[in-house]
Amino acid sequence: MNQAGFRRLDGSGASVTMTVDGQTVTADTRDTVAGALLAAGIDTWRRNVPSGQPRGPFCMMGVCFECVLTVDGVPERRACMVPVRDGMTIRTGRRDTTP
Amino acid sequence: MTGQPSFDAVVVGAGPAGMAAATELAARGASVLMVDRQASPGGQIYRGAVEPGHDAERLFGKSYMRGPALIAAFGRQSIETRWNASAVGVRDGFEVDVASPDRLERIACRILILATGAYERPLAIPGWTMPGVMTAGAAQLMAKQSRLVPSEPFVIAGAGPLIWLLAWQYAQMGARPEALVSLGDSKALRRALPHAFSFLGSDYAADAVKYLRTAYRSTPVVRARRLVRIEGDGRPTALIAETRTGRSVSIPARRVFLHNGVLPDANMTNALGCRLEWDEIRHSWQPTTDAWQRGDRDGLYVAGDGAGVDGAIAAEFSGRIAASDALVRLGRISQAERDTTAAPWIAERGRHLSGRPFIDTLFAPIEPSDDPDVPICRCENVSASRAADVIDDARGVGVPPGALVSHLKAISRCGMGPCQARMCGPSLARFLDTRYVVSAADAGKPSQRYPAAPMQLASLADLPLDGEAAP
Repeated sequence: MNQAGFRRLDGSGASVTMTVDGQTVTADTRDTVAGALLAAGIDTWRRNVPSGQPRGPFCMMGVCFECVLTVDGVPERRACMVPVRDGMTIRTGRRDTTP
Repeated sequence: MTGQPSFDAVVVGAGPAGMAAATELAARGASVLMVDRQASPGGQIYRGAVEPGHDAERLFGKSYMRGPALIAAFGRQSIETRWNASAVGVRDGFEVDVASPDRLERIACRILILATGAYERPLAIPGWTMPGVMTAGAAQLMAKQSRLVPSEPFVIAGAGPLIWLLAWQYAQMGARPEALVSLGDSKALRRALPHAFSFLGSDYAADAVKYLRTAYRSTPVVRARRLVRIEGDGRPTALIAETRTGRSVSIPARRVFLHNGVLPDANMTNALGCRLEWDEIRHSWQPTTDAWQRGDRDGLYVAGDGAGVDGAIAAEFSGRIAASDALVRLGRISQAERDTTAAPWIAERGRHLSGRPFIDTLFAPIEPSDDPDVPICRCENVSASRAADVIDDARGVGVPPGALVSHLKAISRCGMGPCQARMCGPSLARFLDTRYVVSAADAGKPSQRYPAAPMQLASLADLPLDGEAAP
């Protein structure tokens, strides 16, 4: 995993555990899925369809659709809009995006 | 077969305007459905304010603490809610198609209040689609939501009050950018000066001085003419800017937060076929509204920043004002009661509008990059040069200015992706204006199609069969 690009200011305990493409990722209860992945050092998890370029979350407010992934079997969820939940299963296209 | 769900009012957007409107309506006994794409109330301005945390006021300022109070008042009313849901379609009457993660509902209502808020105008420069490049608002939202701050060298760049606010908030959090790159031309202040007096009397003035002082004290400020590009190795390595004296500077950074002002999210009003006006000073489309926030449909109200960016406090009052008129329409209060109830709200809204002309003029959005390779449309990856080729051809065969945007969409798919032209629309408007002298007013706003947000195909089966397809 890469060095995390974001740190948690109040260093509060990570108390939620999710499965992201089969890997275990811990998160803070307040996180959105997008925030949790960024804090875990995951910057990109999908590719732009026409160009194949890796993309990462951009707006964090549900406008740009750059962060979509599958949450508990529901596809096309905006990761920046979905709060984390213990036991959540996330599927991304990430295998294609990590260099 | 169950009947169609029906409410007196559907409110779209749980930011300050939507929460205030819904609260006032429900307090007078109206049945209200709130639809919001987030999981909880607050909107973007009060993101994380459901449980603000003991440090919230210190980190985000006193104005942020209006959020918890608004949310609490909203929570005390009996209001039906759909969280993580989008109003994907709407038609006159009204019928609103609401897509939740697990279902699609067609909901009838007499009153429709669109309080869809604002979003950040994209700043399309070479390298802006790289992972690691985000908006300044995104950076702020991560801090509000769960106290995430960058742990790698970062830079904040762009135009607008938000970059100064973010620099102040990051200073409160002990996060220091490599630089704050402020874009704009040296004449902006002179243009804004005629509005300075009313600004100085507004609530914004004291805050502005505080933010600027902190930013200058804690952060190297670079006054720049333009952003040249973001260099990277798959992630940003440096931001290249051209200073006001024409010097090129390279600021090493692994995170870049861009900003170019905010604009109303007018996609729902546009989808309804309502009239939108191009605001030359704010460089944005704004739905036509009157003093009661009435839109150009019977029973339609557009409140808050979605009707024109006036800030969170003005938004809250515009929501209350809209609700007071809607209550007359619903027969729950008289016109005289409305006038008495709304009078202080109208005064408060006015007070919070007085500082805006200065801010809007001083922080005019910057011109788009003239680099031909820069992607204007993120979803469909359409570059400026590709857009120019299509538009040149279209003009060659006599396509009129008002049809250029839809022509470009049909040929290049620019604006056809899931963001529904929210990203490319503003850049395209500036591009047509600067390169072709086709004003945004002449070009028109890109059209919307159903659904306004992606939804599961299977959920279409949830809709009643007897109705015709929603637009």
